[in-house]
Amino acid sequence: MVPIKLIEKNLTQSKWGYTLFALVGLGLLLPLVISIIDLIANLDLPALNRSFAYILTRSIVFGVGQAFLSAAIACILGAVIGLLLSSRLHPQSKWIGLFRSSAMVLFVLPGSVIATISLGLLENTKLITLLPAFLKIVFAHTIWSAFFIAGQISLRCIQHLSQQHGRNQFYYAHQAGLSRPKAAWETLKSSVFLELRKWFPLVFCWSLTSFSTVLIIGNGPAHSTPEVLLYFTLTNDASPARVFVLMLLNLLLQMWIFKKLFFEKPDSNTPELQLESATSLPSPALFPEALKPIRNLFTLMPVGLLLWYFAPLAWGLLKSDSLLLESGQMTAIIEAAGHSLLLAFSSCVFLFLMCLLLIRTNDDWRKPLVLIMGISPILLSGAWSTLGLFQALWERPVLSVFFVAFLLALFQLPLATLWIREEQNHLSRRPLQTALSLGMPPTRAFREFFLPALMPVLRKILFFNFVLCLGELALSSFWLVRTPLLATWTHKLNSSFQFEEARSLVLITLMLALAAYLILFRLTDRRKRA
Amino acid sequence: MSPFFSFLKCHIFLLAGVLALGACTEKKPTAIQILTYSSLAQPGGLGEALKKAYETTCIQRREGSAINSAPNARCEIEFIPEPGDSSLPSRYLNQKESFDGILGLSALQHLQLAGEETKAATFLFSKSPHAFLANTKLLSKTDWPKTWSELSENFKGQVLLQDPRVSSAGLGLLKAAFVHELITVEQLKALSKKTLPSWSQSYEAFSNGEAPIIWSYRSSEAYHRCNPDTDNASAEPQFQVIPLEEGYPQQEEWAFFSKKLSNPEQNILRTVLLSDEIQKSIATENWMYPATTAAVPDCYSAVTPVKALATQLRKFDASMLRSWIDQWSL
Repeated sequence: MVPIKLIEKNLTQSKWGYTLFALVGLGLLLPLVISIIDLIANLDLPALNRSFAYILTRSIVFGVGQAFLSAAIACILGAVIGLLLSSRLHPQSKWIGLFRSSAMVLFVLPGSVIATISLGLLENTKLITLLPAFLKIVFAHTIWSAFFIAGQISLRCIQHLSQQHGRNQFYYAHQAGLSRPKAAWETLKSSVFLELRKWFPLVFCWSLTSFSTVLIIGNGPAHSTPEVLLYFTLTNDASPARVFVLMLLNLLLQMWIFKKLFFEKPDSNTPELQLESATSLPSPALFPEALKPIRNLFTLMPVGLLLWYFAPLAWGLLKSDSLLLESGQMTAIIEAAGHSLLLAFSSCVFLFLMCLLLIRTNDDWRKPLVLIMGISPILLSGAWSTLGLFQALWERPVLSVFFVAFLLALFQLPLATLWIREEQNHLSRRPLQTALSLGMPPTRAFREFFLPALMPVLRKILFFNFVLCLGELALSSFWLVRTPLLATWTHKLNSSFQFEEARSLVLITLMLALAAYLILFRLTDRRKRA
Repeated sequence: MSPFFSFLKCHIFLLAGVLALGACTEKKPTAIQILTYSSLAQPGGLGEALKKAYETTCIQRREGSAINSAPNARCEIEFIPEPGDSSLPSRYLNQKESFDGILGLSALQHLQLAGEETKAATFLFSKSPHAFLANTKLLSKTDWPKTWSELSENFKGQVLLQDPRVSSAGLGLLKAAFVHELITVEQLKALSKKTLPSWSQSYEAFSNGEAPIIWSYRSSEAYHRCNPDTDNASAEPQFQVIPLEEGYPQQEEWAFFSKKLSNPEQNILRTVLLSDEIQKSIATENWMYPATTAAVPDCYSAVTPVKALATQLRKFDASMLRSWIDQWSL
């Protein structure tokens, strides 16, 4: 009973949930500080020579270059597809629904899975050896964000056009002599730019800090962002001065990105999408009728890409070539899947408890908390490994899985708390206040009125964390070397060009994610309906 | 209590239970912990043969009363696979307490462990000269280069190389450039059609016909001779060593055992690793040459001979290795 009472007490009055996690965060951060002090004490300054300056500059240029190009291409593609999809559709159209949900599937997939899918798609087109690593990375970053942006843009455009003034704007422009596409652009460009202003910096930041994708697709240190270069330096170079400089650089980079993503207020001029206010009229035909098949093709593109990726696997199975299963690796697959599940499940439990502890904190705790929690896994792994602090865990593989699960939950916490806070702002507090004024104990009132309303967002957070944990590569490549996981195995297969086998593992990963989705959303809803 | 909190309570206790169980049941390993590269630790590979042979010998000595008995020796080995072979020294240095030794260090990687040498016993257990291999379907024998300079002049952008920053096969290129001065780094970089992060990745690309030449090992040809194409078993293998006049640097694989291993354990490991049985399996499981005079399979006899250049690394140190890698990186 003690933990429950502890949680309940904290939920209703105490602030120690925040304090506790700030302390845990600081505790984890402490090795980073010690590690940096330790590195300063052993600085081998001659290692910081012109060659290192060149390598460092190249990684920054590579990182910023690929991030900028990824964001630019994703935005341009997103805008083009989004506009194409906006013709003759209702906001509630099943086409748009299908497109947005499949784009969302690609969007929430972890970097390691996206990188593997991208490599598979490039292999299918025989572009795998022709494209330089830089463009392959840009491709991987682009496909997972372009469709998502397109979904957002198309919804905003359809919503704009389904309202009377939007329709009028389009018709007047068209009657004034502009062609349909030009009139559509004149009408919708402000909506498109509003969305792009929001998504460009996000895609840029995601691509700049993307670890798994660059590690899997890049050809070693020559194709590295600063974070991946730090990984290679930690694993292959014993120079304290270089590790020190890279750690500091990455620390500053992470701080800047977190400031950008979490602390800067969203543009107040950007109205949120309001589906409810839309009329039932479909948007007008923005393009000639001949373009309709192209629109439908784009609508099916995210699903099509996934199907195309799995096509060789399906073909192999049809020919009774059961790929990995044939070589007697079934036991190994089950073991790896079990470890991945254990990692993902325990991380979700940790995250759920953390969310509960922080759910009622009203202070403006975000800034220090996010700064503490949002430190890159590579920085922390590096700090812990350079100090030899995780030796005790290393010798106990199962405990190290739980520890990594806890850390992953902690890294997810900033985003989770932001989602919860956003949801809390939309919640009506009246039922809770009424219940309290009628004398209901605060704990019970919270449990019966407040928490059920937050369950949908909690489920969303848990699902997101579960899927990310299934594909996690940064911490596990440092700390779980002795524990086979689906993600680390997939990475190994990719490294040796065994794309067919990698497909099988990606399929298993996706099936696990689908099972989690069904359990968290469908089955829970059914129970509620029953 | 609402069903939600019952559910929550249930999970908290379940998690606490699992954690406690994990903490209680997981004991500190009693097996000898050996860090090695992943292919050596694979099931059915050299690691497994070594493990079995060590256990058998160790149990015999533990129970025996002979002069070389080892009553307190740990008779179990656990191989810890490191995904990248070039990160063996860093992993060891970061977690010295967790490992009893390393298997598969290259000669250049020894430089990174220079401070540790006095605290450890090292010995060579396998070797093979490096070599450029040609795909005879893409490059006929008459067009092969005879010397390193001919290669660097006529085969620019046609060779698959490994990145020395992350691959121990790639470190062999630096040996060729800086220790034996057979070629310059600039010429090496000009040769590259593609520089890949690992030997296995580059060899996969080579087997798929990506390039006519690859930087590999002489023993790679032995693999193809011992596993001939089933459709045309009598034919010469498609992938063969290019015998350059000046020769090639020798790749060596070293065992490195820390003083955490007792003398009897070290003795047993050395005896087993250098035994005929294991040395023979090095030729067929690891596709390298034995370090001893143990016999290799007959199919090895037809492998193209090359001149192996011995490496004297005493005059070099870790900072030199870093500067070589830097010169490669520029």
